[in-house]
Order: sequence, then C-alpha cells, then structure tokens
Amino acid sequence: MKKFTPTLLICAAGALISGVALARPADDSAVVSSEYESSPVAADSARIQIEGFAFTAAPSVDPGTQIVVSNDDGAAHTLTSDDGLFDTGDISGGASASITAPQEAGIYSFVCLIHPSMTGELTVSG
Amino acid sequence: MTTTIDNTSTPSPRVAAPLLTIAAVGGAVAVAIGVYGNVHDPTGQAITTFGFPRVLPMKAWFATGAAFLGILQLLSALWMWGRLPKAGSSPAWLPPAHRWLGTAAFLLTLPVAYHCLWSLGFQDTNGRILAHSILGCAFYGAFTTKMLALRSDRLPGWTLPAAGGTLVAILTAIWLTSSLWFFTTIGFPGV
Repeated sequence: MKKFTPTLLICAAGALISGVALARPADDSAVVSSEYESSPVAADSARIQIEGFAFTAAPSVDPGTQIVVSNDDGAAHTLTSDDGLFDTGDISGGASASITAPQEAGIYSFVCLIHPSMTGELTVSG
Repeated sequence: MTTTIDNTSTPSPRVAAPLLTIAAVGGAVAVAIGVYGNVHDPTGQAITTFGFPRVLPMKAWFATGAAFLGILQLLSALWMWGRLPKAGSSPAWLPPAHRWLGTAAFLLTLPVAYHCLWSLGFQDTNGRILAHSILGCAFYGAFTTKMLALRSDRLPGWTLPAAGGTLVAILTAIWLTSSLWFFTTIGFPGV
C-alpha cells in the first residue's frame, strides 16, 4: 500500500464534510434569501398551481396582474418566462411565489428551469 | 529444466481479487449515493451560491470548471505515460500538478453534487435528467475506485489509465447533460 498524499487527504476531508452535511435537515434559516425568497402574495391575484411536475392551465389575465404560483410538489420548481420577462426563482416544495404579468398583451411561454419538460403559456389580454 | 509460461488471459486470483474489491467499493459508493438521492426528501433549498445569482448558474459554472480541470488531468496523465504526441518526456513538476488538478476538480464537484442531492434529489423527469442523475452517482463511484487503484501495488498496469479514463468520460458526460444544456437553454447568468 502506498503512502497517503496531501491531495488524497484533502479529497477525503471534502467528501467527509459533504457526506455529513447531507444529513442536514431542511431549514428555512439555511435558505439563501436571494435564491428562494417568495414575493408577497396579493389576496385577489390570479393563480397557477404546480402539481405532479406540471403547471395547471394558466388563466388569461390583465396586464400587470399579480399571479400567485403555488408549488404543491415535493421538489423545487420555477416558473420562468422563455424571454426572461418574469421568473419566480426556485420555489421549494409546498411554497408559493408570485410574478407580475407583462404590460403588453400577448401569449408568453414559460418553463420550469429545473424540469424543462414542464412548460406552459400565459395569456395577457389587452 | 523447462519453464512453463502461462499465457492465459484470465486474471489470476491474486490480481482479480483486488480488482473486484476496488470495483465493488466504487459500485457501493455509487449505489449509496443513488439510494440517498431517492429516499431523501428534496429540500429545494440552497446552502450557498458562492456569489452566483442562483444555485443553477453556480452548479453550471462549477461543473464546467471541474470538467475543464478533468480534461487537463487527462492531458497531464497522457504526458506522464508518454502518450502525448510531441510533448517529449514529462517534467518533474507534472505528477504533483496532475494530483492537484484532480483535487481541485473533485473539490469543485462537491458543492454541485451536494445541491443536486440535498436540494433536488435523484430525478427521472426526462431522459437527460435521469442520465445526469445516474452519471452523478457513478462519478463518485468511479472516483473512489480510482483513488483505491492509486493506493494499490497489486493491480495490473492498465487499471489506473482505465479508471482515470472512465472518470473523465463520466465527468464529461455529466457536463454535457447539465452545464451544456444550461448554457444553451438558459444562457450565461452570473457573467
């Protein structure tokens, strides 16, 4: 058996620390706020639900409408406009976030950045 | 007095045993990581983004860095083994440089893998994501096998190049199924 090198010990230490950290439970205080912070939700806003790795049909909304996006899955999702006009950021399982509909009428495609097979369209009426 | 030379290609038990052992340990590591990713309830949270705007860009760039260093490791290994055309004999600084390149690549993968496992878990939403999940588990199994191969004096000479080549191939495939997809689909946030 050959001697252990510093590089091997560093790798072993990194793997050990990471392995132990995997046992860390989910903790809201551990969340990076800029990553997962949810926007305030208005009581009369429209809603899009995420369930079973799919978006529910998005409602037709007026320009500037606040839309609540609720994630009922266990996994994190995003609702992100294909052209970058709106983005919830990562929504952890069971959490909600909100987006604001664009000011111009049109049909806007969106996707979950984590699961790109999840797609949908938001209709903004004039 | 005559001497009998054994020309059989079957590895002797003396060689096969350590080969099977390091392969089995690597396989066990890969399976253990996959099991964790399956049974662990994804938190959807992030511990740190290392200054990137979000976790996904951090993962994409760190994986790119690891893959780049992995390619450098491959080239330095070829040089050390005298298989790099027109490079001549390898300098004395190359072996330690090779080791530190590998160490840096491995360390870059840790925050990526951590957030893959702890935050997102093992996923099979589509073919790309399933392949990425499997490759991610296989990477650490292959890494373990290579590290064990480095420690052993009883393995055939081809073991280390085979283990290292497998490791770089898996790392490249991981990059193709994650960072490349991210950069071509989402763009280059954080730049």
